Amino acid sequence: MSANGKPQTIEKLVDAFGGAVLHTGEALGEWSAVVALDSIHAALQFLASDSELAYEHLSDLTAVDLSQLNRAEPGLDGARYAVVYHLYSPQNETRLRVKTPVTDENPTAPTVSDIWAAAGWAEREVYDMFGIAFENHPDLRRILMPDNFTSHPLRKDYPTKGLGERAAFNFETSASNLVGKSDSTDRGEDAIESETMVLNIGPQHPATHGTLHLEVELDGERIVRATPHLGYLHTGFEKLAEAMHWNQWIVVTDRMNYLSPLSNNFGYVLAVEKLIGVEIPKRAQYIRVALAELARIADYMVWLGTHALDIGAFTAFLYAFQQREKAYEIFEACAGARLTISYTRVGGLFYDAPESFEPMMRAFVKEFTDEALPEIEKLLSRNRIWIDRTQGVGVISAEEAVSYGLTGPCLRGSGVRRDLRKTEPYSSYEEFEFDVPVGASGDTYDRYLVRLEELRQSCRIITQALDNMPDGPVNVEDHKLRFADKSHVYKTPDHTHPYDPTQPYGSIEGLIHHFKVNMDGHGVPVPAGEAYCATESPNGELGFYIVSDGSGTPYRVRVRPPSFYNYQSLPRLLEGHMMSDVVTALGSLNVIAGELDR
Amino acid sequence: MKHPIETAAEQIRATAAEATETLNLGGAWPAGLPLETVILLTLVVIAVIAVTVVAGIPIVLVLMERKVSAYFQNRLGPTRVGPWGLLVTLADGIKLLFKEDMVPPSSDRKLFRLAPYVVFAASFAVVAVIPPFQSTVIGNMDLGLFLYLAISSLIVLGIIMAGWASNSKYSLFGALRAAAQIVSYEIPLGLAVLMIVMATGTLNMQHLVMDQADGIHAWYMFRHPFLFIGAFIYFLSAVAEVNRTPFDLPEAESEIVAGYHTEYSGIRFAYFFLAEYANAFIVSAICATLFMGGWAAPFPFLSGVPGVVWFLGKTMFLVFIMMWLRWTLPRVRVDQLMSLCWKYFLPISFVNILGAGVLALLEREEIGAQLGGMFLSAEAVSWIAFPFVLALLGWFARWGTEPVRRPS
Amino acid sequence: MPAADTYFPILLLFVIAVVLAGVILLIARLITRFAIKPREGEAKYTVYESGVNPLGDARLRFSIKFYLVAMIFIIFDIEVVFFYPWAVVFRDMVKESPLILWEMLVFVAILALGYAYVWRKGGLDWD
Repeated sequence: MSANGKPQTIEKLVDAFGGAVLHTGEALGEWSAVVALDSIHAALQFLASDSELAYEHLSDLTAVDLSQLNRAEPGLDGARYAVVYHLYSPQNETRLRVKTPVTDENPTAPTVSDIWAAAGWAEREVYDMFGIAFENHPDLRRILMPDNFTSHPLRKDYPTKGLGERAAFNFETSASNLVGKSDSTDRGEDAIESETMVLNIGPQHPATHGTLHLEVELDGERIVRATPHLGYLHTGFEKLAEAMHWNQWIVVTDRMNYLSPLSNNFGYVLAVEKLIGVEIPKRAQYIRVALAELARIADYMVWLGTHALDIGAFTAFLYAFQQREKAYEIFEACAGARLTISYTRVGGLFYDAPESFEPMMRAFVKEFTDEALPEIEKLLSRNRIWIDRTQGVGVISAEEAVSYGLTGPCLRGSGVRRDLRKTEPYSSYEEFEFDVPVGASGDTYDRYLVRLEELRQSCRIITQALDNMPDGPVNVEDHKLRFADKSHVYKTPDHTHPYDPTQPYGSIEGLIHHFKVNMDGHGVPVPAGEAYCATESPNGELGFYIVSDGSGTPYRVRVRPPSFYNYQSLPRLLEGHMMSDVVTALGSLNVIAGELDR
Repeated sequence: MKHPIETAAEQIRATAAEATETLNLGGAWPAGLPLETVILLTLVVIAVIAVTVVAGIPIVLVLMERKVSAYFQNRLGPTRVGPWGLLVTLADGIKLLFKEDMVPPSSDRKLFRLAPYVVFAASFAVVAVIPPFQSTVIGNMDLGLFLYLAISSLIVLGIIMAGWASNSKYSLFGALRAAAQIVSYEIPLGLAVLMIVMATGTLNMQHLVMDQADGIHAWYMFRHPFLFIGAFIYFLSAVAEVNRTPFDLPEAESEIVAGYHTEYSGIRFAYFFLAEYANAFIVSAICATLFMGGWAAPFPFLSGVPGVVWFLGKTMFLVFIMMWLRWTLPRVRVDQLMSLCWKYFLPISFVNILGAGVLALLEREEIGAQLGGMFLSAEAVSWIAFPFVLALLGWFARWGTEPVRRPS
Repeated sequence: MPAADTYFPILLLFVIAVVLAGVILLIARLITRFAIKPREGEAKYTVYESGVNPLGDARLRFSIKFYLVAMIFIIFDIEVVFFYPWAVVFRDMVKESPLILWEMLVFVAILALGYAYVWRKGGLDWD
């Protein structure tokens, strides 16, 4: 950071582009710059390729419809949309948000998919949701909505309930986004070559967990081309957020990565807490960390089980699911629910962890590290067939992994030591001791080994969290944020008890408290502003980019889904492989349809 | 010389005549019937019994598979239908019987309908060559072993028919994989069987068993190391022949859904299913007969136990090993499957045959004497070589898996 | 006398298996004809392709790899068949003279030459 407080990045950017940089500013510790549309490509190219800045990683690319924002965004005057790029520089460990104004009359922007491969699908999604066309994009099609969809749902003038498309939905025409066999494929002069076969794997296929759809063109057993089709589980979570209270949307986050719902809860409330600027009590942080790691274990268990099942090892699948069940019992003890637990709240937790929390966790960790994990490893790690099936399959180099925006175990499998828990610690992760394993060659086997090692590290973190668990409340004291205790809200037989926070009886004051925090137009007071908060979810960087206009509901919530970016690399992973490797590579990415399609 | 079946038929006729007389039924039936008719009737009865028994075997095996897999996976398996879930496969069968017999309109209807019969009938006809106990009639065919190889090849025909007729890409994939796989593994399988023929000079399965009847040391598997490797190759090839994990590519669920029988439902699907388990049983039975002494008792003092018990015991043991493999191992990929067959099993089989030939040469006394008497006697060579063979197999299984790369 | 033929039982088993299969199928058809009313529907009769409408036809020219395997199989399988008569007499003949082994060795050597050629040409690689 230089003398006048501006980071080197901003200074160099202003130096290089001068007047094209319309605005720079800092809020909540995040620097952002607004760059004019005609220089945006050059500016991003500069940021990505400059050897000192090296923003090699496009964290996220999205857009915001500014038409109903009640404040003027500096540098974005007269623009209907802002395309937002979140960049990360692994070299300097800095983040930068770059925005560019896009007008309603001419909703186009230059593509950056030539700079970062990760932008390919992200731009398709922006095109789909906002109608912003990206010039020179290699494959600009709708990605989440059906091809014959005419509106752009995330525009502010599109109603949350839709325009009746659901009633008019026609499966036949919606299936038209299949690419089919391209006639242009040049087969050379050898006319006797065999025909290729176009095969749909998914959405209803035993190996495409969830509703993934992969259209593969095969020459015998060899894959010529693989095209993923998305959107079968698209539920409009981001649009929903614009009509829900801050706390209400926690429930929706459960449904994203439904294998580790707590990680989503966690990431979302962290982002909201960042916007509010509140620090939650240590105990709540520790419980969140312990449960997030437990969620990671549960997530990896499903990954391991299904991955093994896809390669044909059925028994490993059941061994893994057994452990997952045990993890779910702990979630159940904490939150009352097993799958969609919605355990976190803005400013803390739903409840304090129960008495049985610590013994249950300790018993689980002990059994998991001493028995379950070695047993599964014994079945697979040195299994000749397993090694043959996974080594050298789906190889992606470190550079490409970064370019594709891979995060989490998929990135670390390629040898890039990057873990948000280390580089940008949140929720007291800096107080924990753990290692970040990386693989050597970036193949499926490496991703497998990295995940197995991370399971052990997660157990280490859980043990530390339990050992050092502080006492105290699990919610902030601010009564504008915390929920009224349920016992103060419920009706009592005689309605006579005065409000007494220590007494578990319903009272009118308790009810008012509840009303003020929960009801329309009240709710958690989140100041106007924007924040991007990334957490290390089991699949990688789970980011929440939230724009608030100070009202009771978010103005725009953008989820940076790790699965979305990871899945984008699948066609690359499958290059030159065989039909059987589809399931291997797919399994190693651990794509969760709920998170992918949102 | 009279054929044993004629002798048997004459006996039956005599017994029947006697019974007719004692019971005073009057008339001359069946004593008066021509011999041919009696023989035919006898054969039909035996065949019906055989088919019924063999059709019952898959029902037992399916239950066994479920229970075995359950215990491998810390579960209970079926427990609801009947005591200990014993009747669950019957319930499944009845369910399938009640399903609509559906033929997709876009399929090649005639072939689609014919395919299950071919698979079903081919796997059942093989049963005729297997001797489940000592008998002059059952399993006593001079070309039995050869017939087994010939008829079992018919199964792949049915599978290709099913896959092609379905007009589904998954089915076609399954069929082509099955064709390539079954056809390839037939060669090491045939070569392994060949070693047995070399050692005995007969293709008659009854004679093969009698040759091994002395006890466990007489089993072909333990005759000499080459035969041991041969038994190994035979068993693995047989697992590949019947499409079981780790070689279940033609019906790899996570890749090609259900393979060649994707489009089949109801009772036609049940035929494939039954045939699959019947095949697993048959290849195990043949392996037990060829390499493990069939119905012969492993130790002479146990020869009081009926042969069929030994036969079933050995067969079921092999079936259990197949299940064990299935619930332990992942699935190989098609190129690995092919290279295992063509690049490993095939050359090893040829070397095996040559080795067995050389050993047989050494058995000739004069040559053995020339080469130094006792030291190089075939038996000595065998017993010295056995540990090495076992070590070799173990090394092969572990080859390339060490060390595990630990991420740091 | 045809019935006494050793191989007649195989034909018989074959026929009985087919008859049995046919009878069971007949029962199933009767049940579905009279006891259950099948539901009709267009989607029911389409072939399965992971829940979407199939792209193109499944009847197409297929990769040469599968045919290559078939061809190599035919060659080797016939060699294996040639082995059998030799194997049957091997045990007795070898007692008289080792010549039978050397003869086969020549045969195997020729076969091995072909095998090496196929391997070298990449015919045994699946891609």
